[in-house]
Amino acid sequence: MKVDMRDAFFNGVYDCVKKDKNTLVLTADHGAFGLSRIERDFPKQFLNVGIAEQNMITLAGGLAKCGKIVYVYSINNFVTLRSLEQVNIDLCAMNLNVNIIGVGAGFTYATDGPTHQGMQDMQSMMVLPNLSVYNVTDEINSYKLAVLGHEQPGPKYFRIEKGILPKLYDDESTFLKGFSSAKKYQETVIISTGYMTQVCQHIKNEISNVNVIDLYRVKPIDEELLAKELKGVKNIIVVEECTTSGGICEKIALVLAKNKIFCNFLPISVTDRHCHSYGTRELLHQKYGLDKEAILLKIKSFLRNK
Amino acid sequence: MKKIAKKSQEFRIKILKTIKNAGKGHIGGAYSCIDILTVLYYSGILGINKENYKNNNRNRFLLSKGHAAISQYVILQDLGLIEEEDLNNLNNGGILGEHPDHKIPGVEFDSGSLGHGLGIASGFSLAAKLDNLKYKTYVILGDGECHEGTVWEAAMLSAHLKLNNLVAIVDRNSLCIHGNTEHINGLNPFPDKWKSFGWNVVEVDGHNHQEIFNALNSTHEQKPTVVIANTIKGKGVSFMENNPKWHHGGIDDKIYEKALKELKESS
Repeated sequence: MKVDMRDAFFNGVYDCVKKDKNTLVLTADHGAFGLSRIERDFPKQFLNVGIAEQNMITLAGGLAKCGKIVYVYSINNFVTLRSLEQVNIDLCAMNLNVNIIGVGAGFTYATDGPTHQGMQDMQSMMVLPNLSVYNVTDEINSYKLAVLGHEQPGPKYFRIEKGILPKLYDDESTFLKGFSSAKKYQETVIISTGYMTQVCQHIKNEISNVNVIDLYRVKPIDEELLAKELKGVKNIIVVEECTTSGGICEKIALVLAKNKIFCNFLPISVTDRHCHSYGTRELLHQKYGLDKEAILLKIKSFLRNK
Repeated sequence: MKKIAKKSQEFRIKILKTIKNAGKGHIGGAYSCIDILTVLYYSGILGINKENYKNNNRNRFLLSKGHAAISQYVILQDLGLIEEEDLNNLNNGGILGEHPDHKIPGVEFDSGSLGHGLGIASGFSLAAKLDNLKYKTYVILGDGECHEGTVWEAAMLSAHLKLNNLVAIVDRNSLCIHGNTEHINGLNPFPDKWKSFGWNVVEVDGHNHQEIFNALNSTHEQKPTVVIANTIKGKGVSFMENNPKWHHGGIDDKIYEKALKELKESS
């Protein structure tokens, strides 16, 4: 049975709450079916703090300093950009096990405009010391990353998805490395993260000799390991669903330069802007060049003119 | 309480010497809250010492107005949690800077950016409730800090959660960097604001040790308590009192001698 991505993540949180009464879940009045189950079955480990994300992060810091493992949840922008200083000081400087869950990656909230589009949330978190930043890809890693949040120390940001998406991983998959590997690398590699890894699955079938690496952890990146895997690859394409500044296009470019990996390089993301357009996620992807066709065109042109 | 009053005055002198040695520091705000800290640490309310400061059931203290850190440092040194040498190296490559750092023994949490402490304190208090521990959490806020919206987010939730093990003390010296709080962004009617947020409110003279002690023991069964401590910024040195210039400043030999003379005379 296919599971909604958001519920898959909260199923992981549910299991952690169930096995450890020291684990708490806070929400800033944002809901999900999986979250309702936690509230229903473990009311003492659940708290809705109201629409006050900054205080939710700070409260979580105080709780975690007293030994609690805390998950906090709301829409991406509100638990990251709005609460940036609280995350930086109260979680990262203190290096506490608080797991920030944000829903609304990229154009998820496609009809809600720049206030809700997650176009800079990931990058804002990628600059903070001690913080690990994850993008989920399918229901398997949604569940497993939620559990990993409980097991691994330190603050983390999980950029989760909602809706049903195809499985890319299996029950044996583990997620400590930070990215998926190919057994044998071809001359072209696409590195993508989150929902864009799903989009890139359709692309790889239409281009010859290509692999897709799913960078489910965008910070920290095991640079040495990634560089080792990319050695000898001729063409590297990076795809992300956010504006370019501070994202994985820039990050991967730095890894390549530092490790003397000389290749043809194509970054694909949204140019620096706020997107005042409204429609479905697919429609906005078309408008801003992130749909399958637009990406294919860019890649084919890139490979022709390299 | 006389002993505690005397100790406060000794700490004022120590603060003066330490800041002179460091070159500059937040002396005005340290002098306005040092009497409160002395009561907290030396009247048995916090009960924190070198042996128990890591105990799970210790009372917690947070200096949310982190710029007054020097007032906590001199006490931590007196209690033996940090060394005299640490004070001598303030702002000069040691473990002490202008704001509290959790790596300093006896400091619970980083502070310095205003508006965080009450939320952290409510996390400590909620954790105590969840774990059935009896400790209390005390947090000192600046009154200017109460311009920060997050203070009120935390105030609202703390009252909603009935955190009766939480005591906030507001150092109501009525001065921000650029003047009187009421001219900049009026806080009054200040006690009424806290009352309307569901808090037990006690108002005291923040330089009267007995009043402070009594207020800290006037907690409520159902509500968090806020002690509004009416204070004087720069208290103890006439030319620093009520002068926003002394929020942060340098102490040269001449100022040092003048201030020291006043402090010794009133000891």
